[in-house]
Amino acid sequence: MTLVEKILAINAGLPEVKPGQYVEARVDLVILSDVAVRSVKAFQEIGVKKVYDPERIAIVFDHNVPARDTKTAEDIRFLREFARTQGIRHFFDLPRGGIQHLVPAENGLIYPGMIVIDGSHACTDGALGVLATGVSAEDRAVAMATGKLWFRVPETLRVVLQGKPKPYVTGMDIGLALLGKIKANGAIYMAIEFSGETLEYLPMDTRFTLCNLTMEAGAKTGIIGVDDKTLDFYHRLGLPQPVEYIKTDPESLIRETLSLEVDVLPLQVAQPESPDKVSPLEEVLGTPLTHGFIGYCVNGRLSDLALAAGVLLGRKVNPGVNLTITPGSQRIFKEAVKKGYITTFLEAGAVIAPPTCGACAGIHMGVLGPGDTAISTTNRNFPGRMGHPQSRVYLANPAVVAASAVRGVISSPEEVLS
Amino acid sequence: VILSNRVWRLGDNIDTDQILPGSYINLSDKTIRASHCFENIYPGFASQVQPGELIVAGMNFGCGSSRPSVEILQDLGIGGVVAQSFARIFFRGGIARGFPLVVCPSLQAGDLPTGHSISVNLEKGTLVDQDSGHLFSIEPYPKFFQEIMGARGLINYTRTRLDSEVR
Repeated sequence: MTLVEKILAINAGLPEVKPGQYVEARVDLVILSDVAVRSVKAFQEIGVKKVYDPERIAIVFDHNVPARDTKTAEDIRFLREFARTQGIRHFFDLPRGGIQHLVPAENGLIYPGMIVIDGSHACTDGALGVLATGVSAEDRAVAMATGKLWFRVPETLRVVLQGKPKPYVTGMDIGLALLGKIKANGAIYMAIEFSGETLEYLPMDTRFTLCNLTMEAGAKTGIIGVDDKTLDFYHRLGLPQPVEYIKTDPESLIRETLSLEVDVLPLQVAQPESPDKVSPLEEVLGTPLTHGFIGYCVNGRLSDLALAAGVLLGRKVNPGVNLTITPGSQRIFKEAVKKGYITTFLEAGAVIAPPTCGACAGIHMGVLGPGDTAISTTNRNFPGRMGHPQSRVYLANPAVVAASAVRGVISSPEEVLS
Repeated sequence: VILSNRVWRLGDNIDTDQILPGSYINLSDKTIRASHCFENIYPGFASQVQPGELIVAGMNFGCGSSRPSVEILQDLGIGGVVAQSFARIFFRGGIARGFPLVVCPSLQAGDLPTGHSISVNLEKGTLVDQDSGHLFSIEPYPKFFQEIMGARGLINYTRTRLDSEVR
């Protein structure tokens, strides 16, 4: 069996499962953000008084915080009250948290082999060898009430990553290249399991980026098996390391497989207006910009910020560009302060936003207007995703966005650093 | 589950922003909110569609954000959606809300045009175009989907199930 098949079999209490089979499986963690009011109301409609297990629920406020109007302030109060009355200890308001796709893992709530359910970019946590997948509001309500949920066992698409990436090529470029190849519907209902030599060169931070992007191909999840880097992730956070963990079976290797030659992959960019409209960066060099965005759940980890700081150190953002940098969590924000990255960003003339979904979801803290053109390290550039339907968004890695912000036009890091 | 009605035909990759443009999400009047459904790709759809009528679409229907989308179609009184494939979170949302979603993998671009009437039997796994007489095979619902549909959604289904476990 593949990793996802094994996780579903174990959580369903079955010796074996096959793609296409429907199972009812234990859910190890339900994640709710501040836009999950509907999930809680659906839970209340079920009519049970207490959640099945408050330890298996995490609430992370990251969309409309700090409250952007009185309506969202009401939602926040409603969810805070729900957490209190249900005894949900894993409750992360903005000052102690950050974005929902980073905070639970960095607080030791996610371990290999778990089933984790959340909104659409849940798949980010697949980098830790978990089945992390987006479900509907009602599904989360049912999992809170019963501890279980139905799942269809997905087909697995094995993506073998070959070779050592070139300088400045990150998980963002690999993920975009994959989207360009298989397109927005290339992995509907499927799990994408990554393997291959390239993983040795991909630190955990950028593995999360890679798994995050699998959602844009329609996948149920992206997943990477446990190795030394996974164990080190827990060690660095001062968390207990996983002792036992599942491995993919060698015979599952013969399933549908796709190879990506990462060693020859140039820097990538997704052009407006779809994350699968991907080309080498070279094809769009020189495109004039009004905005740059670095961070969020896709590229808001410490090594992503380090990449951007490496480009911005001692340089100034072009006066025609507004560069907004959003660390993924308060923890990462603090580490970036200690490392001096935040000073570098401020000296360069960037704005630092609190760790929220904000501008990426077109909600607040940097919404685009008509005629604006942005380059962003986020994951969606559909019409109107980050603001006005007549704004345009290019997607690229943090070094590319930083370089482009300095020059005011889409640029490669080499152009700026040479 | 048996569906029988007139269809409205849409294309591939209809995302949740087309079902309801993001700017209308916070409208509290459900009727007014639903009146904006498909307004950018099919002007006049929301004012002309009749209760019980069906949508037919290509692949990846409902892709994009996991915002409330199924309920917009339910608020308009639409009877269900037939598509070559669905985005999975939208599909889960349909099952959860007891809204019939029919997977018809063999559907081609010219099949089931707007105005044709179809009849769908989800237990048997058949779909008939009553105008052309063409027969399509669809993916039948597993038994527990049928039970969820029978309970008119996952919330009711779960409530009944928990009640019976207590007794």
